[in-house]
Amino acid sequence: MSSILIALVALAPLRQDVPVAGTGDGPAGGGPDIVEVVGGDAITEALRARPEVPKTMTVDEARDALDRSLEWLVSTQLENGSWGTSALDGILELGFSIETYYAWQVSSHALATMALQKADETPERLAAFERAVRWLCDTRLPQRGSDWDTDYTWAGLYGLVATSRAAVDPRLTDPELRAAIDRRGREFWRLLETTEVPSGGWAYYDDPPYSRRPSWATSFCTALVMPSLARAEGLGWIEDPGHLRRATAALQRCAQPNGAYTYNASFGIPRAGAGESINSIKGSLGRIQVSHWALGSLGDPSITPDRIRQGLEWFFEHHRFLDVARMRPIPHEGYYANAGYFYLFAHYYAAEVIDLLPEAERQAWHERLRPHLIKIMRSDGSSTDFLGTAYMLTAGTALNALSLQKGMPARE
Amino acid sequence: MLRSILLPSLALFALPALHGCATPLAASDSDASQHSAIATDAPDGDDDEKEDEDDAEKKAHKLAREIAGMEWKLEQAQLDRTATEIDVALDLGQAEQAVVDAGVAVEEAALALQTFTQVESAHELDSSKLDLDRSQTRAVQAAQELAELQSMYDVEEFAEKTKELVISRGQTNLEMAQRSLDLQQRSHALLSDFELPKKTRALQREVDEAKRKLKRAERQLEKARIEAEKRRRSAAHEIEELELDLAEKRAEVEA
Repeated sequence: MSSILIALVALAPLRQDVPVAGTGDGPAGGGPDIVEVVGGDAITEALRARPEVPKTMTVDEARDALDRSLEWLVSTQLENGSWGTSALDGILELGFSIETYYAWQVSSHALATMALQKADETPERLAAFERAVRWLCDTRLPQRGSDWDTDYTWAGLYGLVATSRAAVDPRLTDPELRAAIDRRGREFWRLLETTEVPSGGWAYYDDPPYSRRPSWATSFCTALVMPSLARAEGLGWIEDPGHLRRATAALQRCAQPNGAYTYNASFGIPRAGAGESINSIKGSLGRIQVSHWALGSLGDPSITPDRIRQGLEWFFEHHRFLDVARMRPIPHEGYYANAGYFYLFAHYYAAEVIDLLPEAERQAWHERLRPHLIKIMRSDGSSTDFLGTAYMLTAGTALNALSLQKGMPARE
Repeated sequence: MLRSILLPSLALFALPALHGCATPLAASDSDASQHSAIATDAPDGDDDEKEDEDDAEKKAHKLAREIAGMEWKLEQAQLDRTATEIDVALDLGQAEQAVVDAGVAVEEAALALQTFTQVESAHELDSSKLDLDRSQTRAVQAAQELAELQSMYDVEEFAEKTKELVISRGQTNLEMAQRSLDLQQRSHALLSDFELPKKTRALQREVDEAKRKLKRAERQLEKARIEAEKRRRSAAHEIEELELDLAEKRAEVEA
């Protein structure tokens, strides 16, 4: 898949004679990759014709939507505590290794567990959360699917995030369950230790020559787990601090002078993209947020409030590129190689990074974020930004709920 | 050239036949005239006896020349027979090789037909069937993908334009897949109902033609053998005739 991405990125300059997306209501502006607006293109039309959404949304306006998404998670949870299926349930993603569909089920399950953990507590939600934690601890660990397909890393990444959060949840008092969480957290870490690339960080594919330890890492995979690595170190699951140190260094190398973060993290010298590169600001809207959040959470002094604000401003200013890529069924087919599944990931980490800003200004940012979360929510409370598969619905709904939960005080 | 080679041997044949003659018969015409001049210089008297001797000498000379000519013809005939033997051997060899070649051609043609009907035809048919199945699968998948996309976008309220774009693309994909399937079905039918039988027939005709050529080559060989025998006999017969003539002539000299 990384080779597909490379191919898509390589093709991007060839598309510069194609009418390029824009809103038509002013220059795109804001970054070094300003693109002239040209009319007539279907995407341009889509941008122009997109339904109006409120510019801001208060907590009260958003709370019902959050409840709907949590209700969807509770009501669709299976008896054994899991969601969805471990098998391919749509044909738009044929071609991955069989194990990968299970790995995606586990990783989306971890996200749903995290969403339920953060939810305003009700007996149903707490019970669902506990069932979800038990399944996450009891289910078998995913294996490497094939030489190139190492998607099982996703299970390790979000599995470690979810178990490390569950491990510090005071509501989980059952000693057996706590022991299971501890055991499974360490197992997820061992999975990640196995798939950590030599230069630091993680991704989900390997390139020839294939090796037991993969060689490709991405900024966003690495960033999303870094705060949890620190938590796992505190829990005693990780003894060697070198893993987090290497991951941090790898992510810091991804930071480009223009403010974007590169997609790849396993390189010697970062290259700033030109034209429609995914490494431009417009192709990096989600990676900027998750990277700022990861580095900022760990105390990187270069991640100042101003830098976080700038990243968020870019996020809203160029949000249309996430909008038009959402629900496109071919990965990276959007402008600047945006993929549909960038959307909710970007919004969740935008919500996370907002909470690194001074408290007084957080709500205003959350109010700007919420409309973009609620506008895509289906009437039954579910969300997806890419395909309609079970794992995407589970992950999408969980990410939407996690995003809405940020900045939303508990119901009195 | 031939004459210069034959003259010494002619002399050899002539000498035993003219044994006892006062003058070598192999002498040239100038020698003969010289000999005649010498005879003219003989003393007068007894002219009749002298004339008789001259007639005998002339006759002997004539016979010697006839014998020499016959011996030359005999030798020519013997050489011709040798040449004939070589020609016959070459012709027979060529005819025999033509039979072998024609036989190999029959085997090759039969093998080509057998390989085609038993292996290649099935391979081409299977390959075409695989392409057909792929097209069939692609069409089914395109329909399933479209159904999946339609189902997915049914509940999407916000991404209307994206929905139109993606559904339209899905419909185009399905249409292309169906057209591709239709084309593949026709190609498969063309292959199985026309092209493969046509090629089978062509290969069968090549086998038949090769067999016909083999028969012809075998008949040509028979003919070549007959002609070879005929030419051998003819050459031998000519030599026998010449030898008989020569023997008679030599007997005439001795008598």
